[in-house]
Amino acid sequence: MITIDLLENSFELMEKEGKVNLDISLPILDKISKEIHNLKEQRIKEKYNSPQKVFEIHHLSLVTLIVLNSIRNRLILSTKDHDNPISVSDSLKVLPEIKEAFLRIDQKDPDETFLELASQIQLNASQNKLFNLGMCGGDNLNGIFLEIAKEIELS
Amino acid sequence: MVEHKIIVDTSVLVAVSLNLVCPEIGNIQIEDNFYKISKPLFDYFKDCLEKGVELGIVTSEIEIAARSQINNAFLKKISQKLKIKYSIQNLNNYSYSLIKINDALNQNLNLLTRIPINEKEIKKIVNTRVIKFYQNITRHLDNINPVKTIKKRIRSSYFKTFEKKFAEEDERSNLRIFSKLRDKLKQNPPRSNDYRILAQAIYIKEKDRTGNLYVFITSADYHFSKIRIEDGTLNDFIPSEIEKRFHIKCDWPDEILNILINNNH
Repeated sequence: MITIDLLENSFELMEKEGKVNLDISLPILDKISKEIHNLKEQRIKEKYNSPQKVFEIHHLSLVTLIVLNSIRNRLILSTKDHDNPISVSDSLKVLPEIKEAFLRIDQKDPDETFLELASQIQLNASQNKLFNLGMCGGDNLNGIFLEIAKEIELS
Repeated sequence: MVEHKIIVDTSVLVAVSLNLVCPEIGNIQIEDNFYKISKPLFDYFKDCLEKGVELGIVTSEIEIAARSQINNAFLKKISQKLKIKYSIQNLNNYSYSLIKINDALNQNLNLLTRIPINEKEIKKIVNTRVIKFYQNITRHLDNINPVKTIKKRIRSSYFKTFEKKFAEEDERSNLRIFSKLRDKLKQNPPRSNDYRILAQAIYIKEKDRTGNLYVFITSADYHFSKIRIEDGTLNDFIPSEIEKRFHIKCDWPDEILNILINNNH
């Protein structure tokens, strides 16, 4: 949560300065992805006897990680794509929902469904060109996680 | 010049978005029962939009309801196909497909126009006209008692045997359909969302000053459109009453497309 706030502050500063700073943003993005990934694993272990809840946690985490990964990729390409600092401005539009997702996954016994929030995040991210499924290949879900995990490890 | 506006109900939005070959396990095909008759209408919307003509309409309420319903509709379909219970079996492998389904919904929503609604007016139409309309048709269905009608006809005829035969013949569809429709309406009455959709259609229709605007609701929901009774018969009592009372045509998407293409109102 604190890390997401840190990212938001950094993005606001970069937007003001009109320039993406990869040295600052990428480590924070990777840290958030790791935190969400770990939190997901922990919650899934706790909820193993409720497949419905497990699916919701899994799906919301996946959508959130895809968005974070899309932000990461767009920032890296921002200079080359003349997307600087629009990529940061667009990212700022999706961060409040990423924060919300983190809070929901962090809840021990959430009442409400996560699927609607996942749909909302997907829509908002798509509208801001931050939902890139290309990396998934579309073959299987575990592949998506593996790819994201690999990228996090490599970073 | 004649103008058309088609309000797309949640059921059709979900139907047109729910079609996917799930790559995760065995390329399972997931398809809503209404997909095949909904898709051509959306293709038509797309063609018209490219020519600058906006036909399809959606309200924020319909959009929110579709987003919420599509997730459950997808998981239900997967469970049916795999013959498992969602509540007891892990479906994590289908997350990618759910993302694709949501993506399809977003793309379909992009073909529709969001219309601003005067909330005060909508509430007024719901409270003063729409609720009353559904109450009246339920009461009307209550009064249609085919057995009573047959007896009455036999009583007032000299040729009782013939009259019984004719009356039974005439009332056959009523005997079969109306009681089922009445029971259905009582067990599953329109919800506030349904009232509001009809109210929004009335609002759009009445706001038009040209007199050239045709407003439609395309829906698979029997609170608006025709219904297929268990024996396969189609009944259009509710849409006929809506059209008579409010001049709004409600039908399945393929029929609406047929009207649009042939300009056949």
